[in-house]
Amino acid sequence: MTDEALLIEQLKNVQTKEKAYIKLVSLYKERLYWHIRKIVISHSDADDVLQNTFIKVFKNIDKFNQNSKLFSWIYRIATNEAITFINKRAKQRNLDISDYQLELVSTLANDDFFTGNEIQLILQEAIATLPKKQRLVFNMKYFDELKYEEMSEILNTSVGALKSSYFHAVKKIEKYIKMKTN
Amino acid sequence: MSNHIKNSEEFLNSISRKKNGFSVPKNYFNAIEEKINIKLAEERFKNKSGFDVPNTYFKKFEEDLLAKVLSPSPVNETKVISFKERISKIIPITVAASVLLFIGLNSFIFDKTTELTLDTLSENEIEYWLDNSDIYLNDIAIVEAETILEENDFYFSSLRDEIIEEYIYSIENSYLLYELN
Repeated sequence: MTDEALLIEQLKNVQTKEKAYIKLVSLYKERLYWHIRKIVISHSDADDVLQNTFIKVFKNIDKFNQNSKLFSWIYRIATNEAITFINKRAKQRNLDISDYQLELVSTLANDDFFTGNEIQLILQEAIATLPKKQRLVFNMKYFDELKYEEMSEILNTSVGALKSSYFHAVKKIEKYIKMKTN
Repeated sequence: MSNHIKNSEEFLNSISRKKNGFSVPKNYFNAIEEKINIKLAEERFKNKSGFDVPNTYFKKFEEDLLAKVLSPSPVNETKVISFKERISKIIPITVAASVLLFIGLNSFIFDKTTELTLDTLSENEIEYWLDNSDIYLNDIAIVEAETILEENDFYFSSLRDEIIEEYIYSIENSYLLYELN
């Protein structure tokens, strides 16, 4: 039995559930945090979404049918939670999601938990100008270094479509940075 | 296409070194398990306050509320308490004789020809007596206290909510607090 299969079994068993859950959190907390953070931008929002993600995992572990890897399943929950979160926030502020994303990035220069340099700030601005899907694909491929097959499982999109999204995203970002720095 | 991406990625790597610039508070990842456990415990107790409502309460709420709003509000008639009635309660028997004597002595003013009893006195006559006698307001207040209390029960039961609200807004808050204490 693989480590993942054992963990799933322990998570589904009432007697071992809590202990296995602590292991699961410690295994995935950082990777999920950075994935969420790149979507919601602010640390406190990322913290909220990360907690909600693990709560959802804990509550729904019995529904996990093992058609995909456990990590892919959790990653998908985190992605959905983060997107739902920013959609809600944009709605509350009466803003289109792209405008809201740009507004979020515009606050980064004064964010205590953004320690990037000027170029990294421009890179975040460039990412914020991308359509939602391209933004997700770029972050997952460029920063998280996920394989297209893994991304395909998480985002429920074909590998070909993902490659195309990534290509367009990289090109747009390159163009944006060159325009801003020249 | 792959060459194009490679060139663009190389360009991005050269300027950003794959760093996104985000950071987290010190020890954030060490404390996250505890935070999640607390949240999980909160989730377990969510919506378990122990309070309950009747089965059809929320289903019938709009209907009941609408019925309440549409029903004509009862007309509140102000109860007029006769001054004479009230004063006759507060005049002790011994004082009653002095009232009658006072009215009798001043019969030229009242033009009394019938037999003098408290019942035959008019309100004007009693008012005249009050204005011209040595009776103290404190004495009236002591005797009246009980009567006023009983009447208050009646007043509050027939007052509409908006009238009570108006009254509350019109008085000083400190007075209200004193009342509540």
